[in-house]
Amino acid sequence: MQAEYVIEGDGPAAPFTRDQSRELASQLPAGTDVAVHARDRVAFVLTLLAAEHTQCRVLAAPSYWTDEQFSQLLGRRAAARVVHQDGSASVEVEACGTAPDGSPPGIVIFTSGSTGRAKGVDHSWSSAAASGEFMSGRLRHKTWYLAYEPASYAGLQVFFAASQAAGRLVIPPCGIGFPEHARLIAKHRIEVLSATPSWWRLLMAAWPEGSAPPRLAQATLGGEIVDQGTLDRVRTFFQPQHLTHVYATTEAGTAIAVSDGQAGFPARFLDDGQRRVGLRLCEGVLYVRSPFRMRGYIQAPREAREGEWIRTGDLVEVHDGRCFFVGREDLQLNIGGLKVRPEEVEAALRRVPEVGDCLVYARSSPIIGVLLAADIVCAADTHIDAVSLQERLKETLLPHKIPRHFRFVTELTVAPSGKAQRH
Amino acid sequence: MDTQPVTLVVETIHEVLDEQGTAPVPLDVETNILHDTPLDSMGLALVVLRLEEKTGKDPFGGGFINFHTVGELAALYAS
Repeated sequence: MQAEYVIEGDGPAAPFTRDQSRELASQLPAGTDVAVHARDRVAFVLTLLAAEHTQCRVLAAPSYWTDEQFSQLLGRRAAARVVHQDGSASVEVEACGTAPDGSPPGIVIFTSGSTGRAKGVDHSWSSAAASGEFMSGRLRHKTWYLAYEPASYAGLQVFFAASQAAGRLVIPPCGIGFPEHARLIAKHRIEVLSATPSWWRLLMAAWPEGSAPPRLAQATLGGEIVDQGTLDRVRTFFQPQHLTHVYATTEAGTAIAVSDGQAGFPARFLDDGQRRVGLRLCEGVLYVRSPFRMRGYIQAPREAREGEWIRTGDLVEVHDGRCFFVGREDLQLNIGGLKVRPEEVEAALRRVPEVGDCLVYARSSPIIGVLLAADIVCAADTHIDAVSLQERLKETLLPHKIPRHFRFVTELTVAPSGKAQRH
Repeated sequence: MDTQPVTLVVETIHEVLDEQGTAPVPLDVETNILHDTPLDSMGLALVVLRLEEKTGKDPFGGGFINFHTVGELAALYAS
C-alpha cells in the first residue's frame, strides 16, 4: 500500500499516488533548478514525489506568492517549471530559460523572515524530509491533513511524514476559511493533524456546534510558542491519543519534540552531547546544531560546516528545570524606551479566562510615538472590557507592558504561514 | 461648523477620562484639551487612536498637525 494524496477542491476526484509521478521524473532536467508554484497543488505534489529520486533541485514557491513573484523566480533561477492544466490527470514541464548548472539535488523553501525580503533556504532531500525519520509506526496508514502552507518547512514535514507512513494526505484548497477546514477535517475523518497554536485556536472557535470533533491519533502544535492553555484546550477538544509540540526553524530544521503535554521542554535537553540535535543557550538565545540543517541560502551559497551552531533568534528562559520560549529577538517592541516582548503580554492575556485569543503589537501614535495595543477575541459566551483587562494584567505585568489601546474583534487573522498575522 | 465631529471628540474624551478613573469635566468647542482637562499625553494618544477607528480617518497620516482645542481637533475629522 502506498501513500495517497487527496487534493480537495478543484483537483481530480481520485487521489494521486507516486505511480503518477514516474513519467514526470524522467522529464525533470538533472543538475539544475525546476520551479513549481504550490498554489498549483497537483503540480506541487507530483513534483515533490518525482523529484525526490532525480538529480534536480525544486524551487518551491509558496502558494501565497503572486504570479509576478513566481515569474521573477522563473526568470532568474529556473531552467523549467512544472504546471498542471485544469482537468488533466498529468502535469507538463515547460522550459523557462537559462539557469545556473550544478544545483545539488534537494528543495529550496522560501521564507519571508522578519525583513520581508524572501530568502531561499536550500535543503537536501534528507534534511527536508527529516520528519519521515521521526514518524512513529503507530501513524501508519492514517489520514493526515495539510494545515500548513505546503511550500514551507512545516508543510514539507507533514507531507513527508504522511508519505513515509503510507498514509492518506488531504490537501485543502488555498485560502479557505476555518469553517471549511472544520468541514473537511470532519468529512475525511482526519486522524493526524499538525498546525500552529493560532491555527488550532481558530479551528476550535470555528467548529460547528453540535458536531463532534474527530478523536485524533496525533495532534501536533508548532511554529509559534506553544502555551499550556492551548495544549490543554486541544487535548480536551480532540482527545488525541498523542499530543506533541515541536520546535523547528526553516534554517535549523526540526530540533525539539515534546509529548508530555506540558509547555516548554526539559532543561536536560540543553548541552546534552548524546542528542542528535544539539541545543544550547547563550545570553538567553537558543542555538541549534543539527544534521537536518539547511545547506545555506541560495542568495549566498556556501558549504555548510559540520557541527555549526545556528543562532535561532528565539529567546528561552529556564524555570525549575524546564525551558520556555518567551519570544523572538526581532519582535521586541520599544515602548517609550522600554523593551516589551509581545509574546509575554499575550501569554499573560491568555491566562485571563475571558480571553479566547489575542495579539499584542505596537501602534504608532502622532501624540506619543508608539503605544502598546492589543486585539482581543473574547472566549465563547464571555465578555470583558479594556479597564478590567488592564486591572487583571497589573497583577502580573510591569506597567509599561500593559496594553493601553484595545480592540475587541471577532477573530484574528493568520498569515499564510499559519502564524498569527503581526501588524 | 458641523457639530457631529465635535460631539464625537467630546464623547471620546469622556470615554478615556472615565476609563482612567478621572471625573468628567465640561467640554465645548473652545476647551483647550491639554490645559483645561485632566487628560495627559497618553490619554490624548488614546483619544486620537479611537477617533481614527470610529471615523476611519487618519488626519495625522502625513505627519503631526497642531491643534489645541476640541474644535480644532474635531475639524480634522470633518468631512
